[in-house]
Amino acid sequence: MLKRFRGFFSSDLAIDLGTANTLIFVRDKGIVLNEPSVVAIRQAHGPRNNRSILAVGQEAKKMLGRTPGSIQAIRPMKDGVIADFTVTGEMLKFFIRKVHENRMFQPSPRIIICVPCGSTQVERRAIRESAIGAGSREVYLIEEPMAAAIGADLPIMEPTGSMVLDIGGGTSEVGIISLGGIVYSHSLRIAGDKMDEAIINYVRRKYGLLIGDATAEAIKKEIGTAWEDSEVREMEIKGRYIADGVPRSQVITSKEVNSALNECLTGIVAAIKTALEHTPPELGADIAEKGLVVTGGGALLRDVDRWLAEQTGLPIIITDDPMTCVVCGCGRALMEAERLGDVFIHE
Amino acid sequence: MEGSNQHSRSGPGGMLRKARTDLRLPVEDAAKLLNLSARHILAMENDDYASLPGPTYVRGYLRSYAQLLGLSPEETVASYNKLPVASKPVDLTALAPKQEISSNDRLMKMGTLLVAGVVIGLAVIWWQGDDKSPGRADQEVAVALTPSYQSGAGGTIGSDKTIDDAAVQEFGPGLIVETDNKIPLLVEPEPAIPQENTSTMPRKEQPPLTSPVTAEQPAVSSGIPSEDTERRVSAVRDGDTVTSPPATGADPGAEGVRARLVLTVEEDSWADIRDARHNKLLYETVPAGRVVTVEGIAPFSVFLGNVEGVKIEFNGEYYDAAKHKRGQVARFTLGETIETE
Repeated sequence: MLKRFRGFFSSDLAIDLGTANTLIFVRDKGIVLNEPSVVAIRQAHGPRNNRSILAVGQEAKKMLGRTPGSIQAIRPMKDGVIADFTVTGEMLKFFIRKVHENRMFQPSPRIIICVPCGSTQVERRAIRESAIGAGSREVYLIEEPMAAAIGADLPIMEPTGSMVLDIGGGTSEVGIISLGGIVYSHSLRIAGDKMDEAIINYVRRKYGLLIGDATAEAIKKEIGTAWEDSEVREMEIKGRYIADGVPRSQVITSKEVNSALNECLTGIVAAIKTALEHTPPELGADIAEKGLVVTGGGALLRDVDRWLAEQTGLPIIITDDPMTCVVCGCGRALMEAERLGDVFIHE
Repeated sequence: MEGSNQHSRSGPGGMLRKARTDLRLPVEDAAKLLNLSARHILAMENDDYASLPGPTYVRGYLRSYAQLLGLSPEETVASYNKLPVASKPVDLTALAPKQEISSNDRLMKMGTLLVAGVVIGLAVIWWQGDDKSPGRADQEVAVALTPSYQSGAGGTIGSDKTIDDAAVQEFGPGLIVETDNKIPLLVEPEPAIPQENTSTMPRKEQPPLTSPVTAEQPAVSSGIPSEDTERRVSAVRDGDTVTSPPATGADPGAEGVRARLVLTVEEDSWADIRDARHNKLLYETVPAGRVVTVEGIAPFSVFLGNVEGVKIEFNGEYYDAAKHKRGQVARFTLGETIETE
């Protein structure tokens, strides 16, 4: 009852609770929040051993790998699902309050959250409970490929196959959609985080240099490329030399990054091919005619479209704003929630 | 300037075609490099976007094609975005189930109220119609039966209110008069009143309309004169005369001809005799040995039980009811010829 009353003073939200970033879409306002899914927790000393939230989002991300013993900067989402239930709840609560900062009452919005299509019932329930714990009065879940397809403005309601690939932070999702439903979907835990990890491993293996997650991500964004024939770029990186423990700098080329990412990209291509194998022939023909739509942060990897086109033989379409495609899809589903009941997950 | 406006309206097709021809790249080769069909390439160059899948796909094709031809993908897509076809969103609700109308829907509420109102209105109309039509008949009956009250106690009788169901029921069972409160009152027999007195009964002999209902004065509170009731009932009991009084103020010619029917009951029988106006002149079981005289406006509608035990005399002439006999009963009409005459 109280939640319903508070609901009058709340805006409905669509949340892309991603492993790397959390985006929030507010009805009639658009995307109002795009923050890293990172929480910094201070561990108080003393008999009570209290934990308190020190920072959330961008501020907390700056602390990643740079924290003293009393502070812990953690990413509560891992591989697209909740790794730390309590911290995820606190993070959501923080973000929900942040988008309702001018409100007198504690917000109690309706929320749509996207979940990986490969998530289990337990993982989905954890996300739902976490959102309810954060104060929402109603929670709808939507699968990421569906949200991505809606956000990309694909003709999902038509009797024609639409294939979408969402390369996120923790998971990559492949989905084939027709007539408003998912015909085939697959979630693989190869995405941005795995690419960063691959770059870290490559640099350590080749140069004996230890670099952090943030540096690996910067390398990926700046000179990372998916296509080996891309224009060669260079970047100077700094890390700790394993042999003597002294920080050193090293120049790395895009060709090297490409070879570091090769394994991850091959995994994604394999998932696409598996999806095409499992697709009914008529839908496969539609997809071959129209192409594969790529969304998510991974779509921003340089020349990923050329690599995918070469490997799959499909026309590759990168959406206009791949990072926000999923949350936009969630937002559109939120606005038409009453009429699009079929696209949500019913447990 | 005009040319550039026209170019922006027509889309990036011309620019793409020019770039391809400058590169001397055949359409087929361009299509192969982009994993597209030649039809798609030609559609883009002709700005025929209706034949392509949708805005999202078209933007992707344009971006790839521009990149291949060495053009700026952003500019090419921006040129396409200026076209009206690019801003047409996909209809997500094409297959969405039609929204079910719930009971909370305003239209539904109004519709329900409207239907309920119509039903109630019809019920009221039916009730009033059902109530009024017998009421009028009752009034007529009452007027016919109480000629002296029309003028005498008109102040209280004249309205519809004074004519109620109780008054009508009085003439049904014959011996029982029901009051408004549904308590049957047995009417004590009284000496028969001559027929002549019935139509000219003086007003002073009538009990007051507001007098309480007693056993001695079995007047119903409805305003039906108790004397008249007593007279009728006693007449039946004593085997005398039952009359149907003429309507006061009415044209005798229009009312019909008065007739007389005498029933000599030799065996127990029952009779239902009604006059031309369907007033019940006799409606009861008649024990053997009674002689009942009925007077009223012809024709009479007669329905007799155990017809063999009853002798009928109509206007002084014997009438053989056996020809109408069906089993033990007979149903016939008397006085039709008189009426026609």
